[in-house]
This record gives sequence, C-alpha cells and structure tokens, in this order.
Amino acid sequence: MAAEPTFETAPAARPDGDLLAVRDLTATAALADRSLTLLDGVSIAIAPGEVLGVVGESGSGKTTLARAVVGLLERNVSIAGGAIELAGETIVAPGVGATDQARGRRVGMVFQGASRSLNPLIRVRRQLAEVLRRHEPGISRDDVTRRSEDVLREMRIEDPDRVLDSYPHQLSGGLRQRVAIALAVVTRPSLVIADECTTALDVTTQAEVVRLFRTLIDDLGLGLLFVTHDLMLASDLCDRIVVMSQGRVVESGPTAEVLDRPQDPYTRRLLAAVPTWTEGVENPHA
Amino acid sequence: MANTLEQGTAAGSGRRPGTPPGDGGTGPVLEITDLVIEHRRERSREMFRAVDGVSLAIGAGETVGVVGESGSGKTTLAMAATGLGATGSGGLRLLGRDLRALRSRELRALRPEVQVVFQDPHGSLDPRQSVRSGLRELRGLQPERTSWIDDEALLEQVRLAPELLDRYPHQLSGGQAQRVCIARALVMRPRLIVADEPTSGLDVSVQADVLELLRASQRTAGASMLFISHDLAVVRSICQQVHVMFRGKVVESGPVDQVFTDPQDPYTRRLIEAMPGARWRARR
Repeated sequence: MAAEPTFETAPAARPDGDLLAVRDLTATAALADRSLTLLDGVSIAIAPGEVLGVVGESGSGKTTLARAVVGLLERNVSIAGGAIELAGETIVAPGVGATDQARGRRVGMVFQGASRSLNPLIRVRRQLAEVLRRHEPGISRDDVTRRSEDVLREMRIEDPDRVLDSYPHQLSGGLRQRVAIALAVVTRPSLVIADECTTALDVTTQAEVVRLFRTLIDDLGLGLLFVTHDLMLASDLCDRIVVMSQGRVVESGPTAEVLDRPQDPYTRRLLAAVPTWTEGVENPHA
Repeated sequence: MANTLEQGTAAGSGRRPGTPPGDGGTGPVLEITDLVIEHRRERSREMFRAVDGVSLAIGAGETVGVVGESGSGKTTLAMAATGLGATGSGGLRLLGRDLRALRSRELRALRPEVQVVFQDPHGSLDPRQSVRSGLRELRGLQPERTSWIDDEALLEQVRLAPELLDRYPHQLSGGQAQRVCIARALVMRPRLIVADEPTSGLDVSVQADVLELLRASQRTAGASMLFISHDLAVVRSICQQVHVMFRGKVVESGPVDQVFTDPQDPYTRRLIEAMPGARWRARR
C-alpha cells in the first residue's frame, strides 16, 4: 500500500514528521475455541498539533486501536502484524512491546468517565504528584506543586487549590473530566489518546471539554487521537477523520471531505442515521 | 402489519374492555399540574426539589418530549407519570384519574395503560427468561388485554425475526433487546408509553431504527408518548411538543420547531449551542 501515496486518503503514506504512525496493524483476540480478528490492517497517522478522529460503532475496533497505542491491550489480545511508531520509534510490532517508561511520558490517555482515570480514594493533589514523580523521578516538591497548579489553570480551572485538595467525588462531572485530562497532559506528552472521553457527560459539559481540547492542541501542539462513536462530535473537533467498521478503516480524510462527500456506504449510513435537525415531525394535532 | 395494532385500538380514544372507568377519552392522557417532588440528598440529608412546580399535558396520540441534562429532574418526572415513582404534591392525572387518590387495587388496574421503555434494555429483561417465556409471563398477568396478537406477529411489529423468541437476553444485541422491550410494552396496548432515554446506549445506526420503530408503533397503536432524553436532535425528530427542564423546573415549552429554532430561555439556547455537529449542520 506504500506504492502510490495519495496524501489525503492514505495518511500512513505521508512523508516523515508523523508523531504517530500506525502501519497495517492487525490484532487478534484468542478465544477459547478460535481467534478473532479485532484490527485488520489498520493504518493511521497523526502529525503534531493535529486532531484525528477515529469514529465507529461498537465492535468497530476503535477502542482496541487506542489501547494498542497506549499498551493497554487485554491479555488475550496480541499484535499479529504491522507496527506502531511513535516519533519514528517502533513501540508496537509482533513480539515488540514498549515498556511503560518508553511511552508513558510521551502518550497521555483519557478514558470514558473520569472514574476510570481517577483514583476515588486519593485527593487530586496526590494523584498529580504521583504521575509527575513516576515520569520525572528527581522532581522537586516545589516543582510538583507549581506544575500541578499550572496544569489545572490550563484546564481553565479557576481555583486550583480547592480542586487539588478535593477527592474526585467532591467535584462535578465536568471538573472531574478536566482533572482526568490534566493527569494525561501534566507530563507534557506529545500525544494524547482520548477514548469516548465525553460520552458520559452532559452536552454543555461535553462542549466545554471539546473547547478545552481545541485550546490545548493549539497552545501545546499536542497530537490528539480522539476516539468516539459520535460523528457530529468528531466533526466539531477533528482535522481529519477515519471511519472504522469491523476492524477496518473504511474511509479517511479531512473532516469536511468525509462529511460532505462520504465515499464508503458505511460512512453514508452513519451520516444518514444522524437525526435531522432542520425538519421536525408534522404535528397530528396541528 | 399495521392492521393488527390498529384493530387492537380500533376505538382510538374510546373505552376498551379493561379500561378503568373515569376515562372519558377526550381529555389528556396524562395531565400534570404544578407537580413538586422532593428527594433527600444522599450526602447532606437535605431535602431538595427534584421536580419543582412542573405542569404538562399529553393528548391522545401525542408525543411530548422532556429534554434536560443530568439532575434536571426529567427521570423523576417520568417515573411519577408512570405511577411507579414518588408522586409528590400537585396534580397528577392519568386518563382523567387522580393517581394519588386511587386505592392500590385501582392503581393496579390502571397500570397496564402505562408502559415504560428504559435506557438499558438488558437491565429491563430477566436474564433467565427467553423472550417467549417472558412474554408468556406478561400475558399471564393480563390475559384478555394481551390476547389481541400472538408472539410471532408481535415480534414482526417490532421487526424481529420469530426465531428470536427462543433467545435469551444475553444472546440479543442492544438494538434487538430494546425492540423486545418495545414489544413487551406494545402487547399491553398502553394508552401511554413513557420512554426514558430509550436509545442512549445504542449505536447511532441502531438508534435511528429504534426511533423509527417507536414512532411507527406509537402511531399505529394510537398510544401517547412521554419521551425523556438529553438529546435535542432525537427529541426534535420524534416529538411534537417539548419541555426543557433545568434544575427541576420547566424553563421553556412549546412545539419542537418553535422551541428549537426560536428559543426564548437562555438555558435552552445554551443547550442548542452545545449540540455537537454545529459545523456540519451549518454546511448542509
């Protein structure tokens, strides 16, 4: 597939400069009686400062892809082919699994529901400190405090001290998800993976989180892999979109192109299923 | 396929066998006036008004949406309407009967008239029962009321293959399980369907099918529907009237197109602005 690089539709074939390059990745799950292909030759690429939306329904493989990048695959899932490169370095390939340290500082992860990212028993201050110390063992106490406060301010949290001294349950859903994002970016990763990270949130909170991501991308030059089932949400935030179905990428391209001129029947079906907003139903009582 | 359902409710708004007296058939199916429901907060033990002075009415065959975010009180309101939840104070009339004045026997007689479809279909189905045996149990509760249609035809109504009758809930996809829940509601020939986020856990392509099914079956069955959702686009696609709830109060009400194209309340405006897909919709 590397033979004829058409730059818009074959992201893996772009020249160097990719932050993340997933090439022809195949992942299989070992079940009791057979093996199941979860990812079937998936290729994606993300440049610094770029937001790539991975859109698909349940069973599409989007979460497996995200987990492969951060090294959190289920135990029965293995990489059967292809590779994942982070800033040119192969971190995943058959038989190759990068250590936590190799990717931990460079890749941050935000899950669906802050409950999966946050420890309910520990105050926010200590959670941020633990992440910082794990990635930067020699960091001073003052630096931990300063950077914890700074990252919360970057999350547009106005009273970082109150939040730092809170347990997760004492915060609203929106604040909790901001803290989860803070945990993912406090070590200044070059890439953030967000898997359905706004799915459990109210729409107004979701809109705030999306705005926050946009600012972070623009300010910090992060790359963002934004996994979602919501094509509309992806259209608000993402520069490019890949649509996944049954473990394959069925369509990819700049957001406007994918939405305005969907080529694949599955993408067309997804778009057709979005409730129309312009026409209401007729009123039988009118 | 529509015939069977229409025969089931041929009288439309008239009384049917098993319909409790007091239903004139012309008034609203559900009438809520100045409803207040208080809950106690888990942590602080303080009382707060989950529903704070809400009024709404649903006419025969009408679909009324209640849209709001978490904590708005929309689910508490829905549960009160079913007679399953706290009823609080204020007016709460179902088919013209005051839900609070009814004796438990009368309330039981009225209960089949309201059927609820919940967000999590698998949570609503008994995991140990096949679809068929679950339906058998339902029919046993209301033999006369449910005799209008057999299992195979009922499944056809919700566009499920008859083979699924012998499946157990864990063998059904989310969309299939939700169709079974809708079938279980329809078999009772309810006058009111309360749907509480019925498509929120479903994939978007499945959601579109289930919405279409709800729309069609509610029309052919002549039932009214109270549709609870956080999703404005879904509400606009299925409801005629909408009430926007915020912190227990209805902040805005009206026909969906009016409320969503010309919102008057600042909170309604915020909700509309927060809807994902603004960039896409702007180009269509």
